[in-house]
Amino acid sequence: MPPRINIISTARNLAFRSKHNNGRTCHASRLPTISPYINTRSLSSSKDLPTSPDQKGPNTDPQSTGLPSVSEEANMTSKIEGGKGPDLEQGTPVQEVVKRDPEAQKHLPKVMKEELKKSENKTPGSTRQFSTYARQREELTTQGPPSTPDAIVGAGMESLDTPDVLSASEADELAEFENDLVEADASPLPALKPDDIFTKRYPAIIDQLVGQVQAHGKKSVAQKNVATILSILRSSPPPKLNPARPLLPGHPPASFLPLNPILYLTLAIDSLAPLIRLRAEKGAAGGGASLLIPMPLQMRQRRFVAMKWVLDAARKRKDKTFPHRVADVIVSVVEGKSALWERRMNLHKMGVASRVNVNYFQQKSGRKRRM
Amino acid sequence: MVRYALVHSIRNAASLATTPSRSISRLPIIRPFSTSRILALEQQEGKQLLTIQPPLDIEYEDVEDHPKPLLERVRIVPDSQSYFSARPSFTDTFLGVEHLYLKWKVLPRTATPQDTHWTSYDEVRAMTGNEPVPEKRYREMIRMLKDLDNIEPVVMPTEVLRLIDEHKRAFQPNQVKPKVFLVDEWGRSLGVGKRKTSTAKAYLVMGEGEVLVNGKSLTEYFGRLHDRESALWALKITERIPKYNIFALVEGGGVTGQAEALTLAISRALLVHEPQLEHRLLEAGCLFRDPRKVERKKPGHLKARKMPAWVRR
Amino acid sequence: MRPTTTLRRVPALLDDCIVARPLTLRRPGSVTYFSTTSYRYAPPTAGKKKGTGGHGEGPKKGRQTLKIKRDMRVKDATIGTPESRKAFRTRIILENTNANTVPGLDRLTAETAFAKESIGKVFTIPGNHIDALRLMGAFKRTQGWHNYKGPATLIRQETWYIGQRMNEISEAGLGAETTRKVIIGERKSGKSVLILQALSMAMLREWVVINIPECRELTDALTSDYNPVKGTDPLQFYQKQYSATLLDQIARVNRTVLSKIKVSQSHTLPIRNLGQMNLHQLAEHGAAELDLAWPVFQALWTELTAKNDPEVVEKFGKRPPVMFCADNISYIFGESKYEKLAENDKLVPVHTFDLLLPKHYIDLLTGTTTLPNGGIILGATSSSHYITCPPLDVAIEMGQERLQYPDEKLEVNDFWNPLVKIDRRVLDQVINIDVLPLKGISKEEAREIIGYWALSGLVRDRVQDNYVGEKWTMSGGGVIGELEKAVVRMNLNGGT
Repeated sequence: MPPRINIISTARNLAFRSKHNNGRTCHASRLPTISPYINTRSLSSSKDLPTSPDQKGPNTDPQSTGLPSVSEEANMTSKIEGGKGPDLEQGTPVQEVVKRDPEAQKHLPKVMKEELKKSENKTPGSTRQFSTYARQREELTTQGPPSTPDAIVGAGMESLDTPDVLSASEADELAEFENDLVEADASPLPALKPDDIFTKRYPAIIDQLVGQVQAHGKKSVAQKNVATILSILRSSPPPKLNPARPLLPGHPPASFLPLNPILYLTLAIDSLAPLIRLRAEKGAAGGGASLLIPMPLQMRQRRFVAMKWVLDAARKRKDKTFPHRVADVIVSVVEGKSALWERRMNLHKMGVASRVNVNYFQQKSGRKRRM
Repeated sequence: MVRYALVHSIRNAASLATTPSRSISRLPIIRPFSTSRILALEQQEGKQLLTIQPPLDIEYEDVEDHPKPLLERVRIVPDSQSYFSARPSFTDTFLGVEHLYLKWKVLPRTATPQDTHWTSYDEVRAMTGNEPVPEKRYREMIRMLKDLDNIEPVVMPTEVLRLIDEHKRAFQPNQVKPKVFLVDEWGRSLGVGKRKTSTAKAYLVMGEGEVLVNGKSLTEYFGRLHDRESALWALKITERIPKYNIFALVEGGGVTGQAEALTLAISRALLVHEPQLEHRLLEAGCLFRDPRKVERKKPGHLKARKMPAWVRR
Repeated sequence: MRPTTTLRRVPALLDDCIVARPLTLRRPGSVTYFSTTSYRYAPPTAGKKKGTGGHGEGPKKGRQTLKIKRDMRVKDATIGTPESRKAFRTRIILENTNANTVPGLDRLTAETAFAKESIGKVFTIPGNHIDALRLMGAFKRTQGWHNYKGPATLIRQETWYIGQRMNEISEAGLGAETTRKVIIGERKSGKSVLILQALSMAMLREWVVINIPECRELTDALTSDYNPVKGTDPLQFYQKQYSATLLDQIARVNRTVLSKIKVSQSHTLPIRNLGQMNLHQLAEHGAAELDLAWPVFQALWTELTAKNDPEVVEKFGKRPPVMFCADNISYIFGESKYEKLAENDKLVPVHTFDLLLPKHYIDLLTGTTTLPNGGIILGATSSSHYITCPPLDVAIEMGQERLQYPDEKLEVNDFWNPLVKIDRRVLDQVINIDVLPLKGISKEEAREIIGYWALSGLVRDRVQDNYVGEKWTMSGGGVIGELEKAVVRMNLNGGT
């Protein structure tokens, strides 16, 4: 299935994804889908993008096929049944369109034919081929606040942090293992959660922040400070979001943030995290001047930079206590008041300005080879 | 004349060494020596320097009625045929192995191969007095030994057993089995764990989730929640905390080390009660003996690796 | 500034006896006469004019002079004063607006607080008590109130036990006994919260409540608040600043109770119309006038401990029992940080038994002085910020032994480590104290309090037996502070 995603927006969403990949490969299908207002975050303006005159995707036009598209039909059916059908804004994959059209199947490329055959033979497994991420998020934003306190606290983070679904073979293995348990009163153990692993018991972002707060090998002090930061966020009033400084798309409403301080922190850090760094290559611009080369950053690196900015801003001030200062900076980032946003924007601007240098190293090695 | 005969006989013997075994006369072993330098000197000075007397009085006439030819009777023949090769003792060993390998090829072999550890290449070389043993030969020999080792124990010939004993390592790692702990008559199971410089012993009994570490309560001994969780991690992820009581003894090292030594000790003690949990504990990383230790300080360094600042002078 | 140098003036001040000194001579509030700080920091008086650089004045050209650089760093407005920063650090937050209101939570009342069925249940602390408890310093930062919608507390076995004693004393009336307990227990086991509960319950029963929130403040000499009493041997000291604060606290917290009681005895106090006053007015007088604070406190105490004879009750009002609590008591059993000049002209530390206010409390706690109308004296030890006090430790150990084997006769020597220096003066005083050990709460109590935390929106896991059991073990067998750490902090902060 071709990834129907914008690369930049995906990269921005990446950081917000479940931390527990468990070594499995990351399929494009698991990535969150595009949000309608995604382009407001990208660097180029939305004016540059070609727009469809009728605001419809290639498969969504009923006139061309004579039939409503598969997704539309499914949507209508489920509406009649009182449910909620597939998201119409996403268009319909080709595979689904040709599924019930034997004439069209004959003209399919070989690869797709084989794929179709495989999917027909396969019994439905426990692995989901699609992400429920976007839908959960949508429910969260469109519906009112959940009624129970547990749901409020768990919202957002829970949906983001759901571990990967077990494959069929793994599930069998687990069932077999559970059958082996002989203790009479023991109810079967739930599956091992990713944070049950001894060395990975804390969320990745917390571990990273602790590492950056830590000084002189005093880890417990650092952990205490991070815990205080989060508990301050827990008792702080909901942030007033600034529409001029949009955060990561699909985040829960502001009133939910203090209820889940880890989500609060993650949102601040991941929204602030720059996409690139600028590498100054000495003497590359000629005459001893250094050349700025934009380099992409991995998720962890991006978080590192954002945390460094936040912690530096907190260390500069002297009022209150250190955890309070960090918490203040985080709140001001989420509220869009922080000067760190300027810093991020300037970095990105310079990155765009020096975009000609992106391929500097490839060009350099290419030149050498030619010589 | 005499010199010629001697040289000739030596060459002959060398050529014999490669042929299959025949009866070898029991003469005293004489070390081979080189005459090339003396011959060169003779040529230089123009006179004869070396006169070699035969060891016996030799009558240079053919005795027809003797069962052995004269040459064979009088020449000096070494004990082993491989005497004249580059690696006599290894060749002997190799031939010995090969002999038994060919001899007992017909015997049935076991289905599962034995996990015997053989003498290493370096050890074999040391044993032969640093002979230039080719690795290929060594590997071939070990292959044959392994094959012999797999002979069905019922029909195993004694000579093969003796041969295997000669080539086996004294220490067989697979023979060393970890000490098996069992639940004792009081219902306790014992587990032992180590981490950094700490050691921990944990006794587990069925109970209500009470813990004593060195006679103190868990909170008194481990002030940090992180450490308490570390210590009980195995029970936590298997939801067994309220089902066992723990009596633990820890010593050495610091708080983290002691807590994580306890992790291992408790995991092992839990396995004694419930061996079926091994897979889960392994997956969760509770049964891993973390081998890391503080790196030692070295002379000339300020710490383990830190070097003093460079000073001009 | 520490008044070390000015302490040499102590012998001169010895004549400054409180009774003999004319009170009018000294302004109220001028308490810093042990310190030179104000003098040194005072603005320069208009003295000799400085030269303007003419001949003969100032350094010659080229000659180096001593120049002391001023600190030219720009002071950030956001830094704030040290006082404001300390206030920020030490402020007590009792409410988290983000927390959920727990439905169906009862208030602590005279009925619920003392009922046996209340054991293992959570109650909110009444609003009028919150202000009083805050005033008395009964709320502490370590008690973790900041996570919940409002202060609520778990009635545990020991709380109920104190309630029982209170009931007995209230019912006994004349000739009621006094309960004296030293609360011990490991870190975070709820010792100071038990004191808070006891104070709250005493207020429900309309007792007189007095609380010393931190004994360290009485002895650590961070203020110069100690004054000698003439003609005492060994020299005794009273602390007027602290006494005034305490009187203020007593007057405000016990307003309704004290207003009903009139002054029944004659006191040598320079206060007009003393005979027509009620005890609340008396306490207010003491709080307002620093120099009167300690004598007024003494007078107040004599009034409170006057016997409840029928004719006295009819005429002056009934004296209620007293609840007197103190926290972190190990600081007042030994030498204080204050110093006095010994006969050989050397500075020696003042013993805490020579400080009148601590001694007053100690006498009550150890039973040297009695309460004719009954009452409860509680003292809590601290396990996080304390000084070691060998005689107190010996006494506590003996107290624990006595609890376990009530019939056995105990020998001090069995508990006394001969290698440790022991203050006999302290040991003789404390040898017979009773202890109230606090252990962890039971699993049922733990389940109840975890349920309360969960309803406050602080627990994401499902509260099941296994979960409660796990947390109970993690907290060393239900040590309540550790339990909160294991449950609430674990959930909020991903475990760090």
